[in-house]
Amino acid sequence: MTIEKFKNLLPDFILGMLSEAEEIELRSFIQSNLEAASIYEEWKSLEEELDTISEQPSRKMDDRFYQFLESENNDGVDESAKVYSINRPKKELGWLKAVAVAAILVVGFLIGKQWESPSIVNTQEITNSTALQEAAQETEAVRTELVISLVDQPSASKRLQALSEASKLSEATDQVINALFKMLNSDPNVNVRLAAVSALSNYVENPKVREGLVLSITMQDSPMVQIALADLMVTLKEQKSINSMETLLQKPDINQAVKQKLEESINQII
Amino acid sequence: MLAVKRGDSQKLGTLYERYKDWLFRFFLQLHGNSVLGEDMVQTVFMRILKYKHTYTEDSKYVTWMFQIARNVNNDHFRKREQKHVKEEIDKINFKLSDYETADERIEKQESSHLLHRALQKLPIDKREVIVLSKLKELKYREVATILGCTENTARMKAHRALIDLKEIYLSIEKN
Repeated sequence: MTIEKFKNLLPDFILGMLSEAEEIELRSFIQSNLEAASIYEEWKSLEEELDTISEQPSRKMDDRFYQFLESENNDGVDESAKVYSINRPKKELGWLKAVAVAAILVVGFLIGKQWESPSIVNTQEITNSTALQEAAQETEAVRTELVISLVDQPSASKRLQALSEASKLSEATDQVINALFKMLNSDPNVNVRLAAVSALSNYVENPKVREGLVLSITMQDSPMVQIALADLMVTLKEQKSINSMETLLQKPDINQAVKQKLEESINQII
Repeated sequence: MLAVKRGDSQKLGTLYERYKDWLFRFFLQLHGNSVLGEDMVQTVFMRILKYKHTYTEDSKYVTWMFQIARNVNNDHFRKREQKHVKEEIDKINFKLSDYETADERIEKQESSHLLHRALQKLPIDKREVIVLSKLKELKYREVATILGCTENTARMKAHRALIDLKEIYLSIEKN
């Protein structure tokens, strides 16, 4: 590779547009050429920031979307009315409009007070709460489906997304729990396994999950995952984990930091 | 998307869950305002449902979705321009002093992040090409389809925009 070719390819490299082979070639050129290394150095901080963009929208956005989806399925209200109801209200009203709206509200309130029927109000409240419950159930179902579909994706970031979605579930089905354990016990990527520990920690009230976590201790070969599991067992004060941790301690190739951590954890649980 | 097009609007939920973060980051990096970003994501999915009949099997879903996202963004800019003109007139008529809207305040707070600040200093078309090119799943071919140009032009635009971003980023970092 020449320095000109390197300069030409560097923006593609920063944007992640190169093939794997081109990327390897460029990386090795950076290591072997001082000028290239110095040019790349200037880009490093920007590259790191671009790579760590991970902002996520709020739950409020999900709620609004599923309310919209629910209304789409439930009725045939005309499109423009729905668009208006979902958009944020206009901030500014002319003062005349504001006075007129206030007057209508006051009159409406007074008439309502006169004629209010508790049964009508209750029926309305029940309908609203049923609609919200249905929307929440729908969110859970879609999220569950998404988690299952992402678990076997070849890309680690997709599998991490599955775990992030799983953490948002209020209840996990057996299928989701099995998928999470599959990632914890056999995923090749250590970050995915760590995130699986965190996702499963949301369901520790389920005896099957606790049992699975205890069994997983001896199956892990990464010190980071072993420590994360030991920490979780201490938090749970899980007596059954002591045997698994002692088994792990017997392994001849155990990492020293893990050994120390396991011994401390066993003492804390006892 | 084909299921949505056939009338199974529930499947829109699956598309939403899969792409909401991408779209949110796209708008957030364009505007540096998360409230506005969430509004725009919502609008994109409403339009997807409204214009589902325009989706064809031979177009890639992500490309089609980002074309809608760009339109949502352009519409926002047009409205903002009109609002800006109206506000200017209002200022002259009523002699209002410096007035900062809630949106602008939020925008300022959120722009404290170095990368966001640098992006905000770039013209919108350059911001857009960087944000799209940086999405892992999009290659120059898809970026070109979204922007309505050739693959080579998309690559050149992305290069120029990235070089400009680097200059701005480094100058902010130094100060």
